[in-house]
Amino acid sequence: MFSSRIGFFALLADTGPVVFFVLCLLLLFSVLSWTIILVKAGRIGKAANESRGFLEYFFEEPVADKVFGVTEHFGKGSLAKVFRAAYVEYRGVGYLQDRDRIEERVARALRREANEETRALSRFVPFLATVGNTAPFIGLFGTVWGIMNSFMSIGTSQSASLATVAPGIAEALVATAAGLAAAIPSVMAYNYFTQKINAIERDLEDFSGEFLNVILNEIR
Amino acid sequence: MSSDDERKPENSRLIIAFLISCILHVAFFSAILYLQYRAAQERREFAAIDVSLVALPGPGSPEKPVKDLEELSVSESEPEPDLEPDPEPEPESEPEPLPEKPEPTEVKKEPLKIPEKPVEEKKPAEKKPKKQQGDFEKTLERLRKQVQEGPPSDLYRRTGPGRFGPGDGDYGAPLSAREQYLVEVVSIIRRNWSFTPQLIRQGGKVKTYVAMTIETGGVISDIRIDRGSVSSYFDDTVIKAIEKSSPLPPVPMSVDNKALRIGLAFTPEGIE
Repeated sequence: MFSSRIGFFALLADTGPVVFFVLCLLLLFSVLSWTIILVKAGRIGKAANESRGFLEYFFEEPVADKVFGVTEHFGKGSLAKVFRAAYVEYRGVGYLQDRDRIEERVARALRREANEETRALSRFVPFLATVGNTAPFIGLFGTVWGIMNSFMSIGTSQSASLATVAPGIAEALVATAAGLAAAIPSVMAYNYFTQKINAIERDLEDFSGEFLNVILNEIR
Repeated sequence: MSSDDERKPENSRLIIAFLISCILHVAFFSAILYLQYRAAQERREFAAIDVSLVALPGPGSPEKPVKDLEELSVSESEPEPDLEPDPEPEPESEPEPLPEKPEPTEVKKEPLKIPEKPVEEKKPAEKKPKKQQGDFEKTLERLRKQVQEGPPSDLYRRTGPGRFGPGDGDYGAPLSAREQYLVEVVSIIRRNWSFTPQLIRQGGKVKTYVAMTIETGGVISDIRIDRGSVSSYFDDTVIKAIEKSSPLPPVPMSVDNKALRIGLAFTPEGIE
């Protein structure tokens, strides 16, 4: 297709089986990490925005029943989900007269739902860290392998000219480039998502305490 | 809403995201492909010219340097006459009329003073021809050295790659079949040639002229050193390299039907 053999695809075509396998693996890592980035960007973004909206409404509206009715509009918000679970539990244990037992049951429901929400938000995110940590090394492995073969070919051809050495090294370096291309967005996304999830987790803890106080005030 | 109900839309979202990710990667690689294609298209605008550096006249080619030397000797001698005539006419024209006029009429002191100057100026004029003679002698000596240092026979002028054929003097001229074959021969011998440079630094010029016959089958025979270098070690490495290179590829019919007699000059820098 090209008049010149110099180019990214020409390098790919000349790679050995090991380097080719490494490149395919890195491509798969890249595709999967971008899939997770796309999914999590939407999921975590919505969870944070809707939680913020729900929290504003929660502090404005003192009646818990009314707040429960509005939670339908904040279906993706983490705080709204936790509130719904805790409120359902509170209404379910209404027959109990013991205040401490009600508090315990509601607190447990809050903790359970908060953990479930955190787990759902964190799902697949560690894979980004794995890609970020391992992809450069996988690429480096491909490069070392390619350079090793290149030196072997130098020994076979008994010539250390630039024409003998350069193509092998260039092919090998493609693996490192691919490893870095897969790792850099993964690491950046992992750091961003972790920071966002930690912020939502802190909000859930704060909200749990606040909601328990509201429930306890209502019982009195 | 149960967890199963929640997972169904999440799974569908994952599939959609996976497809989008695949499309993004395909688009990325397509962009690279397109950019390379465009770069290749732009490169195609220039006419492709096959240039063989081996076909260029070698640095040690005897014909060119001789011409250059001749040109140099001329160019060296030419500026001198240009410089000489300028001062000469001035003193000649000025002093000559002066002594003629005062002789019959006025005191003799004046003509005595005036001729002194031309005498002083004539001295360098007398020396300059000697310098010219010296330059010619030097040039002749150089030419003699060139002849002594040059190839011992016409074999080297005719057969050395880069010294004959259409490529002589024309940079980038296509190679003839004979030249192509000789280039191949030289590259094979060069590949089989190895020596330690430290062992051949004995002073003087290290250049070995070797004549050999390539049979039609490619076998090298009748290897003869026409003129050896100052280093016998160097000569040995040359002979070993030629022997190691035998048999060469068969002589193509387009080159010659019979055995080929060629001569090569070996220097530590390479084969000429």
